[in-house]
Amino acid sequence: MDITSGSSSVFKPADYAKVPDSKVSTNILFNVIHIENIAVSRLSQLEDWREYEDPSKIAVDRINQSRRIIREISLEDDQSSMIYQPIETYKLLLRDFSNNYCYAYEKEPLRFLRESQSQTRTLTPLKIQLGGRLRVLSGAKVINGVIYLDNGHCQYLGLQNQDQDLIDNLNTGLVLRNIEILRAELDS
Amino acid sequence: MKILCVAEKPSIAKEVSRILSGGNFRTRNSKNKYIKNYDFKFNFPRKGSCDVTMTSVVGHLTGVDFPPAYKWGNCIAGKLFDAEIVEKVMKQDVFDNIVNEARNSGQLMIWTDCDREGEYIGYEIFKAASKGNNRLAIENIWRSRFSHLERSHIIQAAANPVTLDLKAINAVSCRIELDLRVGASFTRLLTDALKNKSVIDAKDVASYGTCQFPTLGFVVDRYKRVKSFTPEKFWHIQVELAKDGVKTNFNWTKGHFFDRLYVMNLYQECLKHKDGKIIKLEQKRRSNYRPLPLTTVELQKDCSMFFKMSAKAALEAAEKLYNRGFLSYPRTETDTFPATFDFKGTIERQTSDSRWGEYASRLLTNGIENARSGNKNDEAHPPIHPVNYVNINTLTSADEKKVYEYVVRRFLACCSKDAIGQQTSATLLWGDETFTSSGLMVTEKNYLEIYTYKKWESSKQLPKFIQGEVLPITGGIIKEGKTTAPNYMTETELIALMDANGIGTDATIAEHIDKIINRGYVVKEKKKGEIIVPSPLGMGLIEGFDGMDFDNISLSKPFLRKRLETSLQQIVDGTTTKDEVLAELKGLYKQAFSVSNRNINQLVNYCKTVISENS
Repeated sequence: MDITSGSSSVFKPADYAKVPDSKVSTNILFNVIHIENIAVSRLSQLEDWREYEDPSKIAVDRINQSRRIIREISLEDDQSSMIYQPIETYKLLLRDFSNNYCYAYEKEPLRFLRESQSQTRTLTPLKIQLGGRLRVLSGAKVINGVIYLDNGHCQYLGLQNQDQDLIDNLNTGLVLRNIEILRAELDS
Repeated sequence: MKILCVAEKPSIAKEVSRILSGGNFRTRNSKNKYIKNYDFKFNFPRKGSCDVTMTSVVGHLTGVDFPPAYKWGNCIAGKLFDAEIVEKVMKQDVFDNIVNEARNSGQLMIWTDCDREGEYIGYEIFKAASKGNNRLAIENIWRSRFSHLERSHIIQAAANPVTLDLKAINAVSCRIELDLRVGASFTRLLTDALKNKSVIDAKDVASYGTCQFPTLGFVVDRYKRVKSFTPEKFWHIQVELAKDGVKTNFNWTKGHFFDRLYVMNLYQECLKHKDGKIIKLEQKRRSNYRPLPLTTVELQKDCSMFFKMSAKAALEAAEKLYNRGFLSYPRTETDTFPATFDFKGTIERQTSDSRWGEYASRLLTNGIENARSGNKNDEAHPPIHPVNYVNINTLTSADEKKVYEYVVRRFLACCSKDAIGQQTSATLLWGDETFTSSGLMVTEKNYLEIYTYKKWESSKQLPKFIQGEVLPITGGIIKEGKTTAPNYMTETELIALMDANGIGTDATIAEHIDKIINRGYVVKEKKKGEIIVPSPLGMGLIEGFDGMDFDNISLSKPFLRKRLETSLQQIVDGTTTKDEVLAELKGLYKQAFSVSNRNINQLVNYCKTVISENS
């Protein structure tokens, strides 16, 4: 079923919430507000972010990866046990230009979240800087109000000068903010 | 001409004397009850028939210390970074024996262990000998290279001596000086501060070591992670198919997710389809590889895992077996056998054993497999392997029995074929999602027959699926799971972590673990096997140091020690000098000392808090 309600550049999740299966009817422009790898636990994410909390101890580790501590070693024989390796899968919080928020999941690995792009490369666990623009193309799948993205139905446009305030807001203090969010989620 | 030969341990001196003399030697006592002097004749290719005196030391002959003006209480601890250092004889009777025996000797030959530390002990022996005989020059000293006590190997080593490696000597000298300066200064600072506030007893010492603290850091880090663990739910889809009356579970190729909505939505999509299709069937030959040649760290890890033996006990047992000629030198990082290694002869010597002799004979008959090659080579010793046969019933120590049997079985496994299995995998498409299931049939056990410590069993077999076949989904469910806390640290894992992070060497890892146990920084507890947990004092010390604002370094993490180990290797390789390394590392530790000194009360308070919380 196709939904063609509202403005062509607006995505209102409520319009889709009661429709189990639909598609985005027109191209919609979003800003990426947040991204999270849902294949790893919040505790693992928190540990990852904490390494950025104290730059005097950790910064050098990031410049030279070989200085990172090896924390855990599998003592099982590598050949006889299947070690679970999570397949990174991202959940994106998107905002359209009418201030509607929605979630999007990866239906397949999205290239823009994996390819190193100098403009958006970060020194945090996030693959891209927040605030970049993403155009979701007509035909993208929507299940219960949530968009499932594949490479054929989205275009990442990167950081735009017009969005500088948003970009600054989202990326400044990101490390501590994320630590607080994750800690609160774990405590809840 | 008289040649003075000096080994690192009395047992080596005796065994080498026995081999070189053909059993025809005379024994003289020295002033030290453990050290004997053995006199015999030997024909050295370079000198012809010579009178030989073979004796030994017992480890290091000399040590370094500060002059009396820098004794504990005589100066502030920070002064030790630049204080004068003096050499002192640690075992005067052993030292005197070398001085005396060197007097009438025309040549000195060093028979210490062939590692960096052995090279340095060789240098200490030279200095003692030259005190008794100033005609001895370091460049003319013979240094034998050997790694086990098999007769032909020892005769070969006697015939082809090399010279002492001055770069290795400098590297050890650098390590000794840094360990002294850093260890003494931080130990005095910590001990005095903790005693003043009655955190430790007046008789106790709170020692600091550049390996000890990163070792303790690993234990504390793990303990905190276990204690602060919060379980989290995750979800995944599991499918069941029935064929030929056999139910088979298929697992989602995507794994599991910590987001229920994501999984729910995809599950909902799958539910639109009643049937699933087998899209891929694969038969794969699976190899279970025979083990790599044995290094010290692997020996310690395995003895801890298989026999619950401490790293120290495993190494001690292996050393005793080496001293009696049963095993090769057990301190080695090498996991590749040299091309010239005599596999056949080594296996032949094991064929009479009632436990593994028959397997060894079969190997000789059916063909010896080339041992796998690892990527570590310390260029000094081959992997640990059996040298001479001993019936383990004649060994009195239980640890020695286990270690000898383990080394033999591991060696025979190295020379055996890999175990082989057939794995059948089926991939199922349900909606847009894929799921897999597999069954394993072990067809040839090969090395697993002799390497009984490891299991590789056949699993449940899959029904006879056909590629392209469409089958009704008999069960498709969302399964919920919970993350589980990491395990407490075990000695096995601690050894592996130290090795991976460059803390200590194959030779010293066991000592560092032992040290933090003896200092009361960690304790071993029985809890589903033996675990290592920090004591409140150990926790307080690490948290205290972690709470300090150092300039891009950490005293509880492994980076700084790893840097030192790398620098020492560079001295050996000739790419840097002892002075350069000392200047750099001493500077860093001095800076850290200054920060620690300023914040020592904070560290003491951390310790007091943790201790009172746990009392």
